[in-house]
Amino acid sequence: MKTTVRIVAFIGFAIMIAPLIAVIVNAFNANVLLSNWGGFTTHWFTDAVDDSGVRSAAGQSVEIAALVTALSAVIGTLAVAFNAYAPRWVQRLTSSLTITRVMVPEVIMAAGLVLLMPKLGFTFGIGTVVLGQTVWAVAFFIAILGARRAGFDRRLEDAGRDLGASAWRVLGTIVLPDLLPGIIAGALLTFTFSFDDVVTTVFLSGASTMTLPTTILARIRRGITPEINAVGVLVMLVTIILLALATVVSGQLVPGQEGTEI
Amino acid sequence: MIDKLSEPHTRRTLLAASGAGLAAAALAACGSSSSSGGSAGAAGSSTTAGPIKGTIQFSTYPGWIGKHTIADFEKAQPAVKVSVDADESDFDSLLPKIKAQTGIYSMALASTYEIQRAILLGVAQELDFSAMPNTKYIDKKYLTTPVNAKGNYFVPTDYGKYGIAVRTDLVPEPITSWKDLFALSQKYSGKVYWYDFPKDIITAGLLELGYPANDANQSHIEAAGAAMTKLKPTMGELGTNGIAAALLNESAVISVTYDYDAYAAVQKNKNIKWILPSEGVPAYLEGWLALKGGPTAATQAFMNYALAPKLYADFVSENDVAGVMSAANRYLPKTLTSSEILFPSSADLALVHFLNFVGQAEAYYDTAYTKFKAA
Amino acid sequence: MQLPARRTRRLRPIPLSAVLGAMSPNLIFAGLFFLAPVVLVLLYSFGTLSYLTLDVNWGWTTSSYSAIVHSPYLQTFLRALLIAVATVALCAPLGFAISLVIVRATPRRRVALFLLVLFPFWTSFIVRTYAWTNILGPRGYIANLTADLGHRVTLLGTDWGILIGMVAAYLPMMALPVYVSLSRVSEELVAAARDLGAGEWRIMRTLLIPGAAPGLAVGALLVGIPASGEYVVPAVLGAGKVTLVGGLLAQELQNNGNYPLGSALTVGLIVLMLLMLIVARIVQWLWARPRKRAPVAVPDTAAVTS
Repeated sequence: MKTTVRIVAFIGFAIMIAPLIAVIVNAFNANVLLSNWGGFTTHWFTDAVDDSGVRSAAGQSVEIAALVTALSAVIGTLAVAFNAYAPRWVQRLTSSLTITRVMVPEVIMAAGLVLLMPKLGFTFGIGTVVLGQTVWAVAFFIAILGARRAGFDRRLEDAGRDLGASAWRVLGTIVLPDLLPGIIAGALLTFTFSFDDVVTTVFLSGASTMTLPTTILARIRRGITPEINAVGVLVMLVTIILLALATVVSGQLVPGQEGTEI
Repeated sequence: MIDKLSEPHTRRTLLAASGAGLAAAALAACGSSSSSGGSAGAAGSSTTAGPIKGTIQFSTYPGWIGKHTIADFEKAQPAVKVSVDADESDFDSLLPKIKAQTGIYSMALASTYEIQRAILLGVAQELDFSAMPNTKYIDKKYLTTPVNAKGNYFVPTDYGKYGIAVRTDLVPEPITSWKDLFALSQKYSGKVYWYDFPKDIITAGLLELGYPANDANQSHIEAAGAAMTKLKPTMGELGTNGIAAALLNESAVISVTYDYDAYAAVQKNKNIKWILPSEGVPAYLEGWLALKGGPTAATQAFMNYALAPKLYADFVSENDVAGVMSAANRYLPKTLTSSEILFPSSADLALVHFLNFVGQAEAYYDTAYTKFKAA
Repeated sequence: MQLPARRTRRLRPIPLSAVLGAMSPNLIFAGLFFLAPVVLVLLYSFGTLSYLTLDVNWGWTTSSYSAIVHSPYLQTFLRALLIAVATVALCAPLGFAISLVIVRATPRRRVALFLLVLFPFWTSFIVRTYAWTNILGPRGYIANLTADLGHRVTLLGTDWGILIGMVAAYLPMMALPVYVSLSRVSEELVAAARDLGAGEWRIMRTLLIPGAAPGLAVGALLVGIPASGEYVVPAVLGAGKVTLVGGLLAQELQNNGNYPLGSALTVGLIVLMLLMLIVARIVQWLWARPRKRAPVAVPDTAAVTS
């Protein structure tokens, strides 16, 4: 039985990792058709970097992700930090809205926003994309930060109050600093997911709004271009750095303790 | 997580939230009574207004212009920038966005029936041909199409046909009609590639069933859609890239594609034969359209610039298309201008059915195509 | 110093206005950009479209709904549902096995394995999915392999290809919650069972799988619900031939400007999602129901103490 488990697990890992290996390998593959190994080359990387379409798309992705992250971090931190002081109904409303937003498929939210934006007078472009992504990103941010807030030892707060600090002081000097690693981690994760977003961007962008994922999608539709693999590797590097930072800052690598014999 | 959603207080708060949402929606709905949020098109079409400057948002196919034309134009007119949105999709699918947001595009490449739809929607910008002298080089017959009946909206650039290209060395059976092709598709399943374009695909179905091109009958169109859906599993690839080129590396043995696409492949492999089926082929006449809300003077200047015969010839030779400007032929290679693929003999001309605007029936084509894609 | 026995949960001294002020941006944002759109979708779904003017007429017709319960729209929904269910069905055993291996691993190895599971998240989703074209495409590894064996098989543009892409994309979402559940299974209990001679399969059946059940349930929803509305995977791996609900939605809303039909499709997807939640609730209720036990002989305490 134990070997069966290991074999099945191996298949699972293989399915998750195989495409990534393929991307990395083919990013250096000189064979244009990618059907076989054609020798080592880095010219796909230089092609990708030289491509002005790719560069401007990357720039737009960064711009949008930064705005979404900033907006979500502010709204989300406020919501989480003050949650404990809010009336019950506000707490429940917040948590219901958070859960539903995280669960609902993105196409549903994006479809609704396509209908709403013209009514509010917005023209499709960077603004609508940022607003659309923030709806979901705030919920995501709250979920991450909320988990951390829930694990916060209340007795520290109580101790602060007992020692005579006002509630505001407690908030500013005890709660917020404790939340800070979570805020940073949440921000980095939000940035990564926003950078990677496809659905909301496709639905809500204007004629000239092209992010990196939508550019890649457009090129995939036109035919398989090998330099996409190089772009993928570059994005991988950036994401790895961001997520490594998030993991280190939040101080949490792997939940759980010693290897258990179950 | 699931528990939370069913707790009574959660349901109450969700209801409260919905109330808030409804209020917001009502507020939003008060704004306008229809979905056209963009400003309605201006009544007048002052085409010669203004200096030549601005950004032209140009929607077209990738590479569907001379290699250096845009860059050279921007040098000649430094106050103008041409921003190309190169997408393989058809212009028809951009219309909802254009209707909702005037000025999102300034200029587009489109077929005649698409342009007529744009005119009806009120988003097309009339052009002042007196400010575009190079239009005189375009062959008259293309300029005086019904599209330009009420005003000069359309600048023709090329036309083409949707037919069959076959690797005769790999397909011994003769193919002379759509019926033949449909019958053989099962045998060569997976190796029959189709160029994906809404109206042409449905029209191929219409022709195979014996109906005319430009049929406006809803049940005929639906039947055509059903016929194409039935054929769909045999289609190796349904796309917009490399359809004829697949014949070269034998991924495909039959490709249903456009003449310019087939022409390029035929040059590289003499075994490829271009066939105009006996029921006829759908054909398009396409060109440029200016849209309201854009820098019209700049757009006219750009179109005019690109219509100079030598530059127009660059476009033609770059894409191997059938041109609409005889005056440019002296700049083109003989193989192109004398190609029977691009310029069929007078006997074959009877098989070429240009797709026209069919009014409300256009909706039936759209629906049939959407169903075909969804199946 | 002793802490008081009972604490109120809410610390009142921060003025209510400030608290509400801080919480409201989130609520207003959600109300305006999440709830209002859903309401709008519902309203639009009862309208009709004038094709030649692209105007939506508000009304109360159900023509869009009667359109979507017929083919091929209905088939698109069924296909999407089928693929979502199949994705969950494949992710469950794979995710379970992966989590079990991670839980059993030594701490150092566990970190490495965890990184392997998280690694896919560290790449662009669309690039990750596109990567499968290298394997599933007409000139890809599988195609070349099967061509050598006789008949070239291209999985790109088929339902199977999309299923593979989906499983690859969603497997981490299943593995993580299952890991959380499995890591809570009592080590002593399992060791005791082993000592008493229980076989591996018995341990799995009675201890491990039930232990992982909460995680599997969460994972099933985290995978199944987004999978039913998935847009990217069919767009990349469908090769223009396979359309699922997400793509159909986009086509109707953006390309055809058919807001009523697109909205009806969206409502259909919402209904699908609610159905899945209901099914999950029912399964959970069935699972938690106390099972009938054979009556156990209880000593008559009255007789003993009298």
